[in-house]
Amino acid sequence: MTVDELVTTDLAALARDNRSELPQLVIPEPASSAPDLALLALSRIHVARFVRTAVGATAFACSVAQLLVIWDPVSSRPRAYPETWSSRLLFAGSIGALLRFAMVVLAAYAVAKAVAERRFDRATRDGDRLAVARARLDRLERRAVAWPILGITAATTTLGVQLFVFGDAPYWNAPIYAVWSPIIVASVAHVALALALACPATAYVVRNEPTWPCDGKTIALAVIALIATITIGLRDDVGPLFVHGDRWHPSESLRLALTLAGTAAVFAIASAVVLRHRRRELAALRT
Amino acid sequence: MESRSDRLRRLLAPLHDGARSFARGLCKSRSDGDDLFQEAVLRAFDNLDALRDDGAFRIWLYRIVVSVHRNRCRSAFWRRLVPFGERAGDDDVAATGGYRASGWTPEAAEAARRARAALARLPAVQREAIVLFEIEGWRVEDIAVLQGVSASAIKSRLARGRERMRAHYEHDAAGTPVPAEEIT
Repeated sequence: MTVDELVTTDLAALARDNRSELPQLVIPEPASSAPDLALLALSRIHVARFVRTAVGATAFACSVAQLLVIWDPVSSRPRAYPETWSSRLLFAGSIGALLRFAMVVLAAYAVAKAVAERRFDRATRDGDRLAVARARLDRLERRAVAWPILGITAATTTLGVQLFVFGDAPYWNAPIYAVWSPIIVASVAHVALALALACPATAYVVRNEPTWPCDGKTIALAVIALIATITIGLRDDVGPLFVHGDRWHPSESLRLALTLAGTAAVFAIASAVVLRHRRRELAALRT
Repeated sequence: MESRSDRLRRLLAPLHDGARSFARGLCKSRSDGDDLFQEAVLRAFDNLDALRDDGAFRIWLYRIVVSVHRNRCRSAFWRRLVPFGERAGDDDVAATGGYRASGWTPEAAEAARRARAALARLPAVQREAIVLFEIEGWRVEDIAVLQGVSASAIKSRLARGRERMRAHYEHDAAGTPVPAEEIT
């Protein structure tokens, strides 16, 4: 028997195998007797939409906060690049605070995501569960599209404003440009976050696809953004981000260590919750 | 007025066997295929109101199956993070006790396993084309409509898919690993 004939024979055997032992068709029921299967699928859609909303809002908030740092309310003009080294440190210090704020927001959204799953599970446990689930999805639907779009718009606008305002300033010359690299990298991280959200949102709007595997991508981008933020803070040439005065201070190091440890713990817990939820969900789909 | 569940049941009943078989053909195991099919049904249920013409249901449903399958292929990396103890022995169980219980011979089970392993090596578009053409008996023109490409592109996918399967079999028989460039 030639290889070609063997392939044909095996495909025929596979065809028989695929048609054997066909389980009964399960159609979702609109009543409270709906199988958990439908509920679980809705839960996944709910979480995906919640994440889109949360990350979009995060990108938006970070972008606005960044603009606030650049904007000088006293002179009602964009802040000029600090002339003296001490004022540079002060300015960089506020950027460092902003980056820490971004980390806290990221951690908060990871927690919120885990909490949202729990709440959804609990809220849809009794009563007309499928109807409750659908109502919740409908309420979240518009926000799941609007916030990502707002997020990406704000993040790109911020980046554009920064480049416009500071683009021709003398600090582009080395080594002072390094002080500004955190802002640009943080902006790129925000854009990445917003993109992670905008892609599923676009797909949702254009192709009318309610489900999209964005959970993993979103978490990955959030982690990348976090790592980028942390890396920036640890770099020696942009040391002012985490220094006190003109050199490292133990209290700053401790604060940084605590921030990192706390963020890592939050992400670990959130990831564990998400993975356990998905495992349970897939296990239920198999039964 | 007919409810959405009833409508889906009416439309899906005549296509159930074929669509489930197609989903099983795309996956590495029958249980994965059943998961894929059920997810596609849920998505179909969710979007059924958007389907105006019942006559277009068949191609619409298969498109959903294909879409879910491709999404799963894309998100496969994340699935590896989830330690499923029950996934590992899925095919092994089916290839031995499960088949004997259904009156299958070990040879037939081995043949199906070989075909499934070779199909798993193919890119998603080629796998879909091969399963639809060779197993489900679809016409090239229908597959072209489903995949949104020309008939000649489908013929090319079928030829390349077949070629890859052949290469897999030859390497399998020789006991050598399939070269990386032959795996996509």
